[in-house]
Amino acid sequence: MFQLPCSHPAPPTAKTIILRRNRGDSVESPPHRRLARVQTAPALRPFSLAGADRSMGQPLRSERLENDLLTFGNAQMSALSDMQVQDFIENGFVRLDQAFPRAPQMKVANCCGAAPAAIRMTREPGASRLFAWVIMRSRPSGRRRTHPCCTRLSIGSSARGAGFHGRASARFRSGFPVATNLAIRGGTQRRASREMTGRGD
Amino acid sequence: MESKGRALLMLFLFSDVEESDAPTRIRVGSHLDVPRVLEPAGDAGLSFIELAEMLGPTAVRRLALATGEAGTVYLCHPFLIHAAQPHHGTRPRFMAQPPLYPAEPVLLERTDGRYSPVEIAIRMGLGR
Repeated sequence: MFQLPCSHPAPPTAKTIILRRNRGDSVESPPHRRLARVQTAPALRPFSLAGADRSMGQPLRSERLENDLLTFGNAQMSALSDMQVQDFIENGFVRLDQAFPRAPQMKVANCCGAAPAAIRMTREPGASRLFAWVIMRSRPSGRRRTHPCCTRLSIGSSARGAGFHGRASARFRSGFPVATNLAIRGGTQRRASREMTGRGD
Repeated sequence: MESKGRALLMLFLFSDVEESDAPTRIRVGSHLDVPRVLEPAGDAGLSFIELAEMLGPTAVRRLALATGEAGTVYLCHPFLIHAAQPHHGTRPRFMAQPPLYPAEPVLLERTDGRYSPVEIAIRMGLGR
């Protein structure tokens, strides 16, 4: 019977992966090995891609067991139905829906309240979250200052400047001029100054 | 013919892929045409360019698009003709195509008759 990757067994620990990656290494790993170790660790979060998330571009090796199961990596297998096998033979492919799970929607928003498209679509923890992390960390700070909805806010503080996500700042995001916002909020000069510089609560 | 480097072509969709998101194009059933093209070349095989020039007749095959939600996996025969296409949507597409090495060589003549689906399809293409 033909088998396919379906889900992941108990996720290996980081230690397991690192030991496997470093098998046969000398005490001082070469740079590319150290890089592999760094890249591997974040993918250990519960995110099942039937082993593909841990391949890091390396080919996966399959193994045919005595019971005719086809395995690769540490992936857990389940059987294709006879109809799916027949489709594979006749059409050349078979589509497997939800072969690996997707995680809840991430709450990552841009300064204007809209999540970048790349992040909107990555709903999985693990590899996807790692990607989102890279996006957030690599976003140049200058972009916040030049983004249309943040131009007037020109924030120096990273915490406030990253988004003004609170309800009180909704008017800022709505496109009101800064002066109008201050009037609506009724803030004192001191408070307004705080907001203009992004400091304060 | 033995597909030594790849047991299956696997397409892992990491993002929702619709028709405008540059889904992989698949020529349905084209894996049955390729064995007849490869067989005369023997173990030496053909280069990608050489093979591509000889696959014109497969253009009559029906086209399918590898669309689906994130989490979808397409298991494809290693001889299946497929291609990328321009992206006409607004969302980036994330997918992977990790190679799967064969656990054992593809054999087109087995004494016990226990052929894998990959081998069965190749044999069908050769008219055996």
